[in-house]
Amino acid sequence: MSDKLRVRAYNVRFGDAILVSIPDRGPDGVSVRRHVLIDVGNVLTGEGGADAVFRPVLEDILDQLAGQPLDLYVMTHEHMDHIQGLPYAERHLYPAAEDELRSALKTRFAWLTASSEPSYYRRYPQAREKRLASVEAYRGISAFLRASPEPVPQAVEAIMLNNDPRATADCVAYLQGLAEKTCYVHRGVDPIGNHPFQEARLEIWAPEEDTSEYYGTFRPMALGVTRPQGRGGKPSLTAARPPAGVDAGAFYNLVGQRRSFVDNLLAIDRAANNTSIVFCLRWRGWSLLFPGDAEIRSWKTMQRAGVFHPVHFLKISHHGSHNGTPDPEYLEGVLPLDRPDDRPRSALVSTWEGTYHNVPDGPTLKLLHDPDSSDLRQRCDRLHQVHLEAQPGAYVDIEFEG
Amino acid sequence: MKIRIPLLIQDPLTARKGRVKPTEGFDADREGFFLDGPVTDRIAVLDFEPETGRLAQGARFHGPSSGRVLGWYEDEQGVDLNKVKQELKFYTPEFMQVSVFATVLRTMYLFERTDTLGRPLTWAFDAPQLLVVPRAGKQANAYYHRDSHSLQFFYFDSPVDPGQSIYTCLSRDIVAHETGHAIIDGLAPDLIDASSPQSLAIHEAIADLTALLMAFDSGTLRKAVLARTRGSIEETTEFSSIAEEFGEARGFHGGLRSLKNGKNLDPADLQNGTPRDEPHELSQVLSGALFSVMIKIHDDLKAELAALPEYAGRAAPSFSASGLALSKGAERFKRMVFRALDYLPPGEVSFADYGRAILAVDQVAFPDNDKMRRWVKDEFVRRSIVPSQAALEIQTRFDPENLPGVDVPTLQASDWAAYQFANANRELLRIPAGIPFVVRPRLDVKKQYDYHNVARECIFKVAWELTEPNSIGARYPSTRRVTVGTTLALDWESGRLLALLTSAPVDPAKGGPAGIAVEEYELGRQDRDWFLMRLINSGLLRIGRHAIGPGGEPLREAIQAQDLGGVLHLRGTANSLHIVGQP
Repeated sequence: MSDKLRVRAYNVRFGDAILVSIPDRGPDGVSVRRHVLIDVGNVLTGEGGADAVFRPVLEDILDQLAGQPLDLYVMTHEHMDHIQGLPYAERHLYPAAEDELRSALKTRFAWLTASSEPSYYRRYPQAREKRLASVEAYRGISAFLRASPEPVPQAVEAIMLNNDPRATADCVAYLQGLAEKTCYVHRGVDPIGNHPFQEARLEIWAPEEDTSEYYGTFRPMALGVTRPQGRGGKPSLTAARPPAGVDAGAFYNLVGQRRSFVDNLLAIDRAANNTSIVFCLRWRGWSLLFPGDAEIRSWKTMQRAGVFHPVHFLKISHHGSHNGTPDPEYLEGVLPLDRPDDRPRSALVSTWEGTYHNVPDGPTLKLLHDPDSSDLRQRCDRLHQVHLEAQPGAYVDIEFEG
Repeated sequence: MKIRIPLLIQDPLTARKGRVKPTEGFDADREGFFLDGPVTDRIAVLDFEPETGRLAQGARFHGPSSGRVLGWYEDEQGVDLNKVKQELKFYTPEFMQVSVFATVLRTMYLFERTDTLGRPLTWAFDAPQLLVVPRAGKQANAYYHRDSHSLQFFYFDSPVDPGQSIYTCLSRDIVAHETGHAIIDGLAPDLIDASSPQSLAIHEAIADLTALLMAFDSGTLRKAVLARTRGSIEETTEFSSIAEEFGEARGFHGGLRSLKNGKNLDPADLQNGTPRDEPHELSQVLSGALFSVMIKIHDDLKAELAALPEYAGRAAPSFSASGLALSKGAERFKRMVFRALDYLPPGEVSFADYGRAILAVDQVAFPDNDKMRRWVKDEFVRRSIVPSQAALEIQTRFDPENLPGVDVPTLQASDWAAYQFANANRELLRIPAGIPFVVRPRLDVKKQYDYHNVARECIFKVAWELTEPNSIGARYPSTRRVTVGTTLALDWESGRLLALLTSAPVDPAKGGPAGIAVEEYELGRQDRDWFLMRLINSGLLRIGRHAIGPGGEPLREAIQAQDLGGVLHLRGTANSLHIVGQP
């Protein structure tokens, strides 16, 4: 058996699926190869959302498991581009029997982000208030888009579908039943007993248990939409006409500006990203950091919590976005310029272009490509870009010598 | 036509404490027309139903009946809204529409009087009407928004009084403050796009002082408060606390902000030293300094009037004189605070620039009485706004040889003549050689000097752009654009240069005419660095496409920035800060 730890990042178009295979030596000196699967999903629209990629990906994952159980599944956060892959595959790729995929995976442990625990919002009223505001804002925008005669821009549609609370709830429900033992994870949870590793150690850096701090403030929207009573009805837009004596151009400009919803839409998207499970895997002197889609607010919170330490591998969060790609002040905490050892350091990023608004971010990508001006490139020996190195459905391997 | 409308002079819940009668009548007489809404040629109240977005029926205008000279607004039942005295009725849509309209209009009149700016106001946007939305939605905020030509007043649930909403449109202070922002934007349009925290803080401070002056403007409030305090404006929160009801509901003891404070810019003062990079906090240094000056003006006038025979014989001369002293003192204070906006140089300005403008205004109008100027200088030094009084030295009423043969009416009327004049006087105006500049529309201003004489001035402003280092991180352009400029105040009749104020830095070692000290400019540059880094940290400053939403429209909460060939350009700083912040 190979004595290397391997990170296998699949090209699932706009989304993530990462299989980490780890030789895990027990007290008796016998090594067992264990597997961690981090997210499987992609967005639901555009080319970045083509679901055909899941067949080769799932086939390879099951090949790698070779009939052995999946030791740990990590759902970093409740976005479709991270969670919809397994429920989709269960329904469409493994339809022969109910739970065919679930049975094949034989998942022992599952980590889900803390706020997806069924009683979570009863215990955290502030987070509940924020979550309700987020869902209410989502519903308002959704009704407005359905009522509006204008076509919905693809970039807006992608964010709406990725954050659809009903769809994400369905996927989370599936994942809650995936493993023998499900653990809802936040910083402060003791991982011992919630994973099967004997040699490898896992540290949870984020999210905080009370997720209210990850939400911004949702601004009141004056969308002028009347929602239907009961099911099946279509929402309608309120017709507003300028009263006598009021300049019509200024009036309609005001109505248009009051109907702006994009700040709230992006706030909804950011809040979910920032609830990402961020964990560090330590194995035989290596440290590997998997931050999900953590954005600036989460990086800032982690820094404040003092959890940073140098790592050898960083999965760049949030697909190369401006907000997810950590700034030098955070990078210094995890990939310091003054290296503590001479082990090689690498980073991985999944960057499917043309599907999601400003993600990946062009200037950020340009910076990542330029070894001279890129802060990250000065801190890493190698940057792996899944979508440049692997075709859709294929993968990139990064190995760490045992 | 003249109408009478009800003006709320106290927040409804504060009025519940029974200290002062909450409303008084206000006669509006400068509007071209009045329509339902209320709508006039300059103001339109648009009351959108918060739930549906439908436009609610506006209060109905009723012209003067036969034999009466005053028109009025009434509700659906035909009740004259001037007759509303009960607090419960303040929360009807019609009362809110008329009350907010009255406060906006009264605030405008405060600026327009001959003893202040002496001209009708114009907006910073290219349209005649300011749109006022009294129930803009549910949140604890209110703001002026230039792009939509509007004042937006929100409401929120009272945390201490279940079932009760706090409507910001019913707060005299908040309405006056936001109207102040709209007016200031028309007078000093560069401030809203500034990257200097002190420029943004000037906007806030003057908006707070507008609320203070609105409080002083109410005869009912003046009388009631002075009677209770035995003639003091210092020993009460009714003048010095901004938005008492709002502030208390949001957990700020004694109002959202207090003008009676010791805040300063001394980094060694651990108790009152104020960070230089947060505009709302910073504004209190300036508003606190000026409120202290107002207290001195009032005390001084009280003492002066109390010595007059008509007061000296009374039982409590100082108390008896306090009302007139406040009325006169507030007028002088208002002139100083608001007229300084006319004299303020264009572009990024500091508290020191504003201080010099105040001193210049006062020195031109009251050359023989320098008491107030001394108090201003003392306060600015005491609060470490400037290192010494020398930084506030200004020259006024220049020797005619400085600017011979100026034809003011032609300068006023002709853009070409104005440009030629500026180009020919680059050195005087501190415009560096070879740099393009813009001459702003000139102002024709009639002002009262010395309490009696009315003088006519031409305010001439010229602005240009400098590029300075932008030391805010490797991800951002290495330089940024900064607007600076010079204001000239010219006597209309003689063309004599009355005042010259500039925000352009000049190194005296290099010779040439004086501008602001290089050290002062450098401090401003550092403030801009810190402030921009703070904005980046809070995710508010977005460059280029990061400031654009997924549908292609600009994000409202983002401060729009552009990287134009390695130079950072900012837009709408103050607007975004208001949308995400507090009134």
